[in-house]
Parts: sequence; structure tokens; C-alpha cells
Amino acid sequence: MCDQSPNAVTEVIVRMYKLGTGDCFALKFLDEEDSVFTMLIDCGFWSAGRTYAQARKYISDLKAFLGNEVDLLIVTHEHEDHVRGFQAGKKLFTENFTAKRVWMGWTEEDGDPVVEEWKKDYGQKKRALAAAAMHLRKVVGTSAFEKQYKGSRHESQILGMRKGFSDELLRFSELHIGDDPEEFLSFSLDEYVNSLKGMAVVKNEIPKLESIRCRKPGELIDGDTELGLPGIRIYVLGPPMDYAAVKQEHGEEGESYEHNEDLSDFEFYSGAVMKAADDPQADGLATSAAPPFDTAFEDKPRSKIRSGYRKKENAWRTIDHDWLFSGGALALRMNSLTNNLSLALAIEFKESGKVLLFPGDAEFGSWKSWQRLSWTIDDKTVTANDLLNRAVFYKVAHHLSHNGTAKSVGLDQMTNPDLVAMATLDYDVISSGWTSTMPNKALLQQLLEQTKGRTMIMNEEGLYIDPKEKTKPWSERIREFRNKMSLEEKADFEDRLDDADDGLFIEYRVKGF
Amino acid sequence: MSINCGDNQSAQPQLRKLRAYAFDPSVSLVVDTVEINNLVYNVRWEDDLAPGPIGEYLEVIDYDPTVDIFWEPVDLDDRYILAEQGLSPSESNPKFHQQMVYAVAMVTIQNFEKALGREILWASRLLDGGDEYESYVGKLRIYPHALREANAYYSPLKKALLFGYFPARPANKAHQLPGSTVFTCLSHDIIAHEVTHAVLDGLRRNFNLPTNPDVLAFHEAFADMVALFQHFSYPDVLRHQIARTKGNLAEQNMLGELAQQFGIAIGRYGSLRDAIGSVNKETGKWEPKHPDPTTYQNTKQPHARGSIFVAAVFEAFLTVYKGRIKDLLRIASGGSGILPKGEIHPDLVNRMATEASKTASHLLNICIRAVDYCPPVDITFGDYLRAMITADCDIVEDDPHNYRLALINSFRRRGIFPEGIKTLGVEILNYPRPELSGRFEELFGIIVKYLRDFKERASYLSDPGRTKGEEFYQQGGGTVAYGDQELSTREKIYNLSRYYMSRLHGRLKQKFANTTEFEELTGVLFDNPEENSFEVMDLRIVNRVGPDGDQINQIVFNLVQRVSVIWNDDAQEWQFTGRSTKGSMKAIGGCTLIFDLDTLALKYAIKKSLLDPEKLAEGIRVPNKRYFDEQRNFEMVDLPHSFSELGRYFHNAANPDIGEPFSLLHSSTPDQNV
Repeated sequence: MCDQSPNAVTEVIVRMYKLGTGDCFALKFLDEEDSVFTMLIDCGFWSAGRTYAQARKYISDLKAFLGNEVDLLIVTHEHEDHVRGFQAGKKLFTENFTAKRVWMGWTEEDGDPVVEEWKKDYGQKKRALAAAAMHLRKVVGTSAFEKQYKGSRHESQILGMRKGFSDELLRFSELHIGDDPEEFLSFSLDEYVNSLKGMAVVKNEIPKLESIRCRKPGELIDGDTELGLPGIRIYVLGPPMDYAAVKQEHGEEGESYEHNEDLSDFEFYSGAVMKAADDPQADGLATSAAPPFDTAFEDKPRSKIRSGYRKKENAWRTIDHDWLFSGGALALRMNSLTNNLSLALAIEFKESGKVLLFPGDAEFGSWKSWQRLSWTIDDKTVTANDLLNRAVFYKVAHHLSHNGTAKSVGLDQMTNPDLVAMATLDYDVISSGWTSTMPNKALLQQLLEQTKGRTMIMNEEGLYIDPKEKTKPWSERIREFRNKMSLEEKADFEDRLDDADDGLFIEYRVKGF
Repeated sequence: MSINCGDNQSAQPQLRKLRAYAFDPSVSLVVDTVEINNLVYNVRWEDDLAPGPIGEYLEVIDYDPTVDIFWEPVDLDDRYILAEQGLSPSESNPKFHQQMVYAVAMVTIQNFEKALGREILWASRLLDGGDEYESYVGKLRIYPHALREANAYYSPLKKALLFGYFPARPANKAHQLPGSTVFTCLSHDIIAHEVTHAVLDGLRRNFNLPTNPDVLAFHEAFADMVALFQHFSYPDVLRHQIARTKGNLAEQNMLGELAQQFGIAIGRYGSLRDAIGSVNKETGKWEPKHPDPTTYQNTKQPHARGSIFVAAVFEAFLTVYKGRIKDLLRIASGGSGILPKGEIHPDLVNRMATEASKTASHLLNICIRAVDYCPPVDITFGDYLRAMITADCDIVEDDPHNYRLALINSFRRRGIFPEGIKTLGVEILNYPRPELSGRFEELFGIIVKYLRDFKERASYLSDPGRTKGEEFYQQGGGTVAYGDQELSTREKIYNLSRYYMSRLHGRLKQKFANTTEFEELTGVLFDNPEENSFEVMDLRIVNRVGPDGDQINQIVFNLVQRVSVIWNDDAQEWQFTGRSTKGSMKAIGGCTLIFDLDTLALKYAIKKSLLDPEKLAEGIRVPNKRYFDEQRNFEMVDLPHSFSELGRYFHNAANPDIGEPFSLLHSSTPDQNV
């Protein structure tokens, strides 16, 4: 296509495949009615509620839509809800399929010493998370664990909560390492790199015409000269280059107000939990697992304190297992760090300046780092702020969670009256713990206001403004907003939207000018 | 405690002096603060202190489950250790860690007992109700090395404090040696904070039930406040800081700055840094923050909201302190207000430090006493302000240093108003004495006499020299010993108060059932006490002597009632449903009743009314719409965001009945230690 000189792209078809909570976007760039370029951004889903066989139905359709090849395949970050599809549909993606180009974030650049250093540390923490999840699952089922709550008021709920916690931890671990933690642990630490099978399929097995490009923030890709994508520019916003921003998950005051911890806080925890879980690699972390004091201070074998602690009537006060629950904080930290490693892109129509924003699952630290970026185009400075102002399409980051979309450096700046949004949330296919944080009420409300109701959620079913009482479905609120549009606006929206209830996808045609 | 002053030979010491950090070990690495970091804590002497240390209130069990090691317990009665005022501060010796948690925790307990005028009890353990519904907990457990995380928390389920340790971060090099370990059990403020959570749980179990945005914030803020003022009550710590300020006394910002350094040193409690003030980047000088009344309206996250509260009380502290040293400054500057250049005279430093420490101790007392004057559930900052004013008016007739005005002003400046009160003033905030009908005066007279009986028995128990208490106690069904183990005084008091509470429950039912006047007074449903059950909780003696020798002789207990209500959309009103049904909301209300034993009268009834008080005055019994509306609104809008991310993703983990609510709050703290 590069050798042709077609007219500029006039329209983009954006298809959100309804694989379940997780991202899978197929884009077709049209010059009038002719397809001139295709793009696939991620292909993943939560495994709860969705079998691989079911998933393949969607992927087959996707493949047909793309025409057995894609001009540009983008993997935003290494979470199962963004890459599991490549594993589930491995055959579909590796046989009779070509990805001409593949892009990932700079943190996937194999061989870069900074990246390698980071990956080693990160790989260990993934391992610790897997070890913690598996060990805790084992522990909460033991009678020793149950004994400590015996006779306490609310005994069954107390146990239930802890079992639920351990399930949730396992799911977080699954998100990072896939659904077979035992297999993961059987690898050595050095083999970590392609821990998610879907990721490995993309890196090693999908036929490509060019080697993978790892993108850095601030890069600008000219569609005409570099991609054969006429009339389009692509700005790389994230992942940020400095770790400080990667680690910053939440906003500051007035933004949102949460913790900001370093993975290094979990160094000691990781060592100890891997040892407790009998991870064969634990020896490599002997220093982290070591006791905090010289063992000369250890108490005598038959001391009063020991026997008092182990007395049956004191079982309710023992703390043998409480420390394992720190794995929850580690899981959240890992989750946010990985989200902030998302390759975040702004796709711009050169002529009209309209922008499609695909931030992956970027969280606050990444959004904030975009504010420091600027580009010079035809002697004019373009900032992230400009790009957000001109956004007419926004792929909502992180499934409508509170930390996915920044407020002052994010949604507040998306002021274009034509803004529409797509969100990949589906309560039928999700981890149960996530349902208490998604959708974030304030965020969805603001999105509906700014898009005039043109926020397309993968599956509106089960989403309530009052999740406890379940009397006010979001779908109603969305309809209310849509009814407030002018007749012309509404007709245009409905014309561009293809959202069949039993369809495999939601499709929207974004106008280029 | 029996002290025999006449016979020096056999007198048991009153105090055990123990060395420990005034802040935490990181402060010792900074040259200009190293000298103030070593403090000798005065801990009440415990005669039967076992290795652990294990005493009457605390048992330090140094088991580290992450490596499955028991560390040898310190024996504070070892004669070498006694002679040296405890082990010298050391990060690498677990025995010193045990000594420090014990010392700081005991000092915190002593501060509570001094202010409350009674022995404190830990919250009882709740049982499944086979034979018993609750059981006595004599000792709070302390596990100094229980977690490998930047976290420490009080576990209401285990009645235990769990402290964590973690690697010092590279970013902290100035304050921590790289590669070293940060132990949360070596921070004065973290220990005091966690112990306060436990004490408050013993005083008011329902203060961790989040029914409005202030409840969880209050638990945190109260714990921070106790830690902060306890710190300021050590004159040695202040002396150094005051001496450093030289001629710049008028501004007196160094105390605010110091308060913030605590926040920095301990990392987790960084909220103070934002709330009190900040360093002006242009001048490089610290400046207090001007409060914004809208912040309170708009801030819902418990720590951020709590910091508004701490800042309010801290501002009152500064105001009072400045007033107290005015004369000193006049004397020192010959009336000019301008001090000569150079170092301040050490005598002046001493006097100022003493004033600051006194002010801090007084405010700490006021803050702690106020808890008895709070409603039993649904605490708001406004309720607490009223409680502080009322408690203080009760014991101190006039207020020459204007503590009350200072408190009221700083709360006002932050937009904190008690419900239904538009103008703040001492007279308005002081709870009025309930007006009772003649018949009710009489009925309550009987109740008060019964309470006086309880007090007498309990007081005898506290004084082992008088054997009558034992008899009384046994008449009241009290157990003296289990097997051959004699019960402690506190356990006997616990047993006695439970016995009296159950009797009291029966008497209240018998005397007041079906009386509208009782419902008006307490706000609980009393038309059919069999159906709408209620609890009698926290029967306590209030025994205090004010600074002018004024004595208080009171008894307090709480009524708590749980109901289910449902919103009827057609009638546009709440309805009581009896038991919970689909769509119903559980709600809790109640009343704190304070009785004066000298006048034998009911002095205060501080309530969270389940019945609409205004309608009730007209004889109409309907649910309190405003109360339930607010609770529903809170549950729907703010509660989901009140918990940390951990509490949201691992949802039930934040449930106060079954989870670790304080752990989840803590690990959500914005960490500004980078």
C-alpha cells in the first residue's frame, strides 16, 4: 500500500469485540468505502465466565473482518485481559494470518539493560505473587487456619471473607502470570520473560513482516510516510520513561487519594512467602527471606512464651497466617505498575485534528507524564492537552475503574462536543472483586455528561447506580442522556453505531472530518 | 495500687524507667536531632512483670510467623537491665524492640487512665453465643514482628497489635541507611496510634461502624491526635526545638514544623504535613496553612478527612500555647517583644517547654475525656466538639487559658459544625441537662441509686485494702478466681459491670417500657422492648479531679438499638420493618446517659435518635428521616470510596465485624515518605 498515494482516510470503523471484560479492538481505516489500513489493539479477556472455545468464535469473526492479516498489531501491556485471546486463538493467529507490523511499549525491548534489570525485579515479584496466592489458598483450607476463628462470632463469614480474599488473590496472580501458577513456578526465574502465553504467541509465533517495534513516549509516527496510512499521525504518549511515573498509580489531592508504594517494600515479603510456599527458587532470594535479627536471639526450644502461644485456648489470638494477606497489597501494586506500562496512543486525523485515544489501561502516573510531552508540527507546538481536547473517541482505560481515567489531566480536558467512548466492562466475564470498583460512579457519570450518553459499554447488564439495592440500572441513565441529544445528533449516532444484542461486537464509525 | 510511703525499706517503686526512642531510629541519623531522640519513659511499676514483657495490660509475644521464629523475651526485672533503665536503644536487638513497644504502649494506657479516672478495659471478645456471647480480654497482645509490609494494625478480632517491617527505600538515604530495615514497632507514634485504636475499641465498640463520613476518619484522627499530643507532652523533646528557634519566637511555627517532622519520620502518618502547613518554596520558611471551610465538605477519604480534624485540634494547641507564653516573652524582651540576638536563655527555654508540654497534656486530657460524652454510635466531628466542650465544662469551671474558645474557633474555621447548630459558642455547645417530668425524676432516682451501688462495689474492688468489696462482689454473683488463679481487679470490674448491665437492662425495660418520655429522651424505640431489643453497653465510672480540685462523680452507660428500615417510595417515608427484608437497610442508634452521683440525677442524654425527635414532641412516632437519609446516602455514595483500593477489590475485607478494618485503612495511607 505504501507505494500508492491514496486520498486521506475519511473514517475509522472501531470494533470492540465482546469477549468479556478485557480489550480487543479491531480498527479499519476507510477512504470513503475502501479499506486502506487495519489495526488490532489487544486481544484479551478474563477467563471467569468465558471458555477458550467461545473466545475462538469471536476471534474467527475478527480474523475475517481483518481479512487474515493486519497492518498493525498493538499489544498495550502484559495482562491476561489484554493478551489471553492470542493464546486461546493461537491457531487462528498463527496459521493463515500475518501481522505486518507489531508495536509494544518500550518496556518490552529485550536486551535493553534497563529493561532487563526492571524485568528481573518485576519477574521475582510476579513469582512472589503467584507463590503467595497458591500458598494462601492452601492455608485457608487447613483445619489449623479454621481453628483460629472457632467459636468467634460471625465465624463462617470470617472464614468466608478470607477464602474470598484468597480467591481474589489467585485471580490477580492469574492476570499477571496466566491461569496455571504451578506451571509458572516450575520455570526458573530467568525464563520469566514471556510469562503470559498470549504474549509469547505474539512475540514468537505470529508471522510478521517486520520485527517488533518498542515505542517510547514522545515519538511521532507519520502515517503517510511510515505506515502507508494516509492522512493519519500517531503520537506515543506512554508508557512513561521514568519509574517514578510508572509507580504513581493515583492522583494527588482533588484527583484521587491513594497510596503509592514501591515494589521494593515487598522485598522481604517476597522472599519469605516464596520460602513458605516451598518455591524452589526461594534460595535465590535467601537474603530477602532471612530473619531480621541474629538467630542468637532465638528463644529457647521449650520456653514459656512458645508454649503459651501454642496453647489450645489461645488459638484465636495466633497470627501464624495473617502476614500472608499482605499479598493483597502486593497484587494491587503489581496491577498498577503493569497498567502504567501500557502503550498509550493518540491517533490523529491530520486534516481535521480529530483524535482517537487508546490509552491501554494507563493509570494516573502515566496520564500525568503525558503533560510533559510536546511535538512540533509545521512550526506549531502540539501538547497532550491539545490531543485530549480534540479527542472524539476515547477507549476508556481500565474498564471504568476510578484509577483508570485521570480527572484534571484526563477526562476534564476531553472537551470536544463530538466525544464518544467505549468501555470494556462485562459483568458476565470478570473477577468478582473487580465488580466493587467498576464502574466508578463519578467517572461514568462524567463520561455520560461529556459524551452526551454516547458511552458504549460492552455489556450494560448487571450495572447499577445503586449496586446494593439494584433499583437504578445504568442502562436507563445512559438512555436518558442519549434522549437529551438533538434529533440530528441522535440520528447520526445511531446511524454510526452497530450494537446488536446477540452480536459479537459493538461497532462505531468515527468520522474523520 | 498500694503505696506505703512510711516504710522506705519495703516500698515498691512507683515507676519503671525505660529508655527508648522519642521518635524512631531514623531521627538518630540526622545530626541536629540525634540528641533528642533518646528518651527515658516513665512506666508504671508492675510487680509481676514476666518476661515478654507480660504484665497486667499487655503481653508482648515476639513470634515472627514469616520466618517461624520466637525471639527471646526481654526480662525487664533482670537486675542489670533494671540498673541501666532498660536496654539501650538498638535496632538489631529484638529485646529492645519488645521493651520499646511495652514502654510506649504503657505510657499511652497511663495517659488514658489518668484522663478517664478509671482502669481501662480492652474490648471483649465476641463469641458465637453457644454458652456465652462475649469473654473478657485482660491483656492486649503485641506482636512486634508479625508482618513483612509497611504496615501495622490493631486487629479487633484477635485483640492484638501486629507490627510490620520492610526494607528502607533507596529514596530515603538521608534518613535511613540503604539496605537497612524499617521496624514499625520502633516508632513512638505508630505504637501510640495503634494502642489508641485498641483503647478506643474498648471504650466504644461501635466507633468502627461506618455510618457517616466522619466515623472511620474519627478513629484514625483520634489515634493520630493522641500520638501527637503524647509526643508534645515530653518537655525534653520540645526544649531542643525551642532553643533552636532563637529570636524568632513570635511566630512559634517550630511546633507546627515539629509536628510535621513526626509525620515525615513515620511515613504513614504523613497526613499532618498537608493539614497543618507547608514550607513556602520562595522563602524556604514553614508557614501554617490557612484552613478552607469547604475542605471538610468535599473530603471524604478517611485519612484526608481525619487530618482536618487533627489540624483543628493542633491549631487550638498553638493558640493556647501562644497565650500562655505571652508574659514570658514580655519578661524576656523587657516588654519590647524583641529578644536580643543569640541563643535564648536556657531558663526561658525551660519555661516555654514546660508551658508547651502542659498545654499538650491538657489538650490530650480534654480529648480523651470527651469520649465518654460522645453518642454511642454514628460519631461526627461536630458531636466530638460538643463532647469536648461539655466534658471540659463539667470539670473546669472557668477557663482562663481559653482552651474551649480556641477549640471552637479552630473547628469553626474549618467549617465543622455539630448537627443543628448554626452559631458556635461554649453555652450552645455544652449539652443541656435533660428536663424530666416529676415521675421520671423519681424513676431515674431509683436507677441512679442502683448505679451508686455499682460504683461502691467497684471502688472497693480497686482498693484491695478494703475487704467489703469482695463480699459485695461475690453477692453480685462475681467470680473471684478461676481454679487457683485469683482474678485481677480489672476482670472483677468487668464481671461486675456485666452483671449490673444485665440487671440494668431488666430495670429499664420494667420501668420505662411504653413511655413516650423515655423515647423522647433517648431516641430508641421503647414501645415494645421485647420486639425492639436494645443493648446496655459500656457501664463505666467517671471519677475525676479537675485542676482546681473540682471532683466529678459520675456514671455513664450507653443504650444501643439496631433496627431495620425500608424506604417506601409511594408514601415517601421510612418505615420500621421489624426484621431485615429485601431492600431494607440496617441502622443503629442509641443514647449515652450520664448520671451525677452527687445530685443523684440524670445529667446528660446524648443521642442518635431513631425516632424523629420533632414529630415525637408532637406525639407522632415515625422514623427519623434525616438520620436514615444521611446513612443511606453515605452508604451509596461515599462509603465505597472510603476504603482503600484493597478494601474495594477484596471487598469484604473491610467489614468491621469479620475483616481487619484498620489494616485496610492503613495500607491506603498516602505515603509521602519519598
